[in-house]
Amino acid sequence: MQRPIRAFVALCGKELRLLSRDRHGLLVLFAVPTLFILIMSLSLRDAFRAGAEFSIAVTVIDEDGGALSRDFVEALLQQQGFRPIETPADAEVVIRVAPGFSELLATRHELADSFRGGAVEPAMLLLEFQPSVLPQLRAAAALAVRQCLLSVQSDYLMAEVMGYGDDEMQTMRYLNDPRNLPVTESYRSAGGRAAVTPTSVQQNVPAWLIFAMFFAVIPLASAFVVERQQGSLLRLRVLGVPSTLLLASKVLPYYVVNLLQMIVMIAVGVWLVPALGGDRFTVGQSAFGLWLIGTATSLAAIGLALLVAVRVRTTLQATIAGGAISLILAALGGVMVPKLVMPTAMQQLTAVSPMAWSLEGFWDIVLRQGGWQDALPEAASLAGFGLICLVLAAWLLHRNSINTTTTT
Amino acid sequence: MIRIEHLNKRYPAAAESALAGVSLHVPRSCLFGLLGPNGAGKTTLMSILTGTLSADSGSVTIGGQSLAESPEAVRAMLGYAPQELAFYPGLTVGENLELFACLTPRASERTLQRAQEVADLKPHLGRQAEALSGGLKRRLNFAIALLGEPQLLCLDEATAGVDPQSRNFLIEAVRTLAQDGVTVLYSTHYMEEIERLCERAAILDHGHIVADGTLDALCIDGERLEAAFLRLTETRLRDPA
Repeated sequence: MQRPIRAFVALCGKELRLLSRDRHGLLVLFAVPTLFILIMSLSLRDAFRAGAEFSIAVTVIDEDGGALSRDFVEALLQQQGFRPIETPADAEVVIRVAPGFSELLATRHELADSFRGGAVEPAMLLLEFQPSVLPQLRAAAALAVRQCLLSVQSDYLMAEVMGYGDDEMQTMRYLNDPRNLPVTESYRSAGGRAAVTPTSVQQNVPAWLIFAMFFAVIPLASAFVVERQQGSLLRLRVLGVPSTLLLASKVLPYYVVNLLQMIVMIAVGVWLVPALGGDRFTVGQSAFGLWLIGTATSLAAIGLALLVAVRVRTTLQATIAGGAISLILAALGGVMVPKLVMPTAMQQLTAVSPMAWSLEGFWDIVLRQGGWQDALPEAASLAGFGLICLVLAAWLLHRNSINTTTTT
Repeated sequence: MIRIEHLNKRYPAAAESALAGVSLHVPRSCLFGLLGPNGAGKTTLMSILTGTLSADSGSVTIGGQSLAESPEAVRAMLGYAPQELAFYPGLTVGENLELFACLTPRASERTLQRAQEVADLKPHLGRQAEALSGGLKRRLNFAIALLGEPQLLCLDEATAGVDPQSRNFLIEAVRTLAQDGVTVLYSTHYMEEIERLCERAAILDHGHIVADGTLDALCIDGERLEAAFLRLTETRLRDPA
């Protein structure tokens, strides 16, 4: 084997050996993102589901007791999403049916003109939510209550006022049910294929995988600082190991680690999250596309990590700087807070983070069901970013290796 | 073996030159001591000799090869054990030796075995370097410098922080190497080691060679080397500014 190749193989082997013996580093690279995927996928599961699929603990207090209030309570508790419980203190929402509910509902059509003229209509239903209830859940529950009320009111009007028979009632119920309206919804896909419904696991698997790849900055930079402090780097320079070979010998092992992270995190999403009650992760149609965006992300993450590594002087600096950079990029890039819940201005700001580019690239494949060509723009941006970081790191390392020895 | 002519080096933003017109000649197979207070320029000189630092001006010739013109040829002749324990604590002794053997010009299975023997490391090859005693760490640091079977061995504080037994072992190993024809440049603060080991020495201070010659020539009227060193470099403390 020629000497540069032999040296490269030896240095790569050294890096993998050191990494495999670094329990804390492995914990950071594999266990931490796995835990994040599990926790975030399971805890945000309902937040990603459509309003109709909400679930809320409800106590209904019927202070009216009339025929229409009983119809309303019965219809309400048959609605999907309302979990009746006895104790109001434990309920997420307490629904009070005020005295006079049935009378008002029966005469409302007669009073409609005066209400339209400005008369104040008394509140018939009071919805008291716990402050901990998310706004989306509150809106979905309130909408369901209103729909139920409309349904009971409509039934009363059709039967008692308009005198409809059973067949006409059934027809009108069908027509008045929003679910029967001729409207369909779908997510836009990259090609002709149907896109996958966004779920918490579709968001969190790529998001925390990207975070884990970039978090390699901590073990990589720390190991590099130790090499410099211990004098190993000096010895490599004395032996004539070029800066480029030294950096390349770190890129390949960490690329292997990043690919392993990708396999492990996808496996967690496909098998472990569903086993614990979450949704199943869908990998998309293009394995090559996944590899492409994963490789580009790895290049960007390793490039950034090496740039940090050559700049910091102590392991403490490596940990603080590496951690802070990863966290800021993750917060900006839609990893910690999903981009879709951000306001528009913040969504635009995500464009500054390579993690956001990577997330978009992964979504091209796993959500929009696109091919590798769809992820190509993001992959090119990430690869460009990674190469710029690598060139800067090589230049800084070369510059630092000249004229920086302290005199003793 | 080493010929240094008018070597100058000043670090950016430094008030004084680290090396100011240093000239030195170290004969082949000589055990040569390099002495100096902290900040005198010893490590700067070692760094230039080992090719990790460039001089502003002057020339260095090692084994007849110009360092500036033929750095690869010079590197192939050189073994260097820096003051730091320059190996990977997370690897075993054997893994460290094999790794550096792959990176060292002229290293082979034979030279690897020889380095293990000289430093008496064979019983410790499977031990993690991090867990070694101070003496064993120094021996590993020393053994790595021998992997290319160097003609010139630069040792910087090779015995710092070791017990007397390990120090004695290392000194005897260096002496044996010199007897086999290896030129040794030995930098240390321990004067008795120079007295015990070296035929010639140079004292560096403020970037200048203040004395250079045989130990007898450096010491006046039978004085000890330490007394001669303090006479030549003064007794005031050398705290960094």
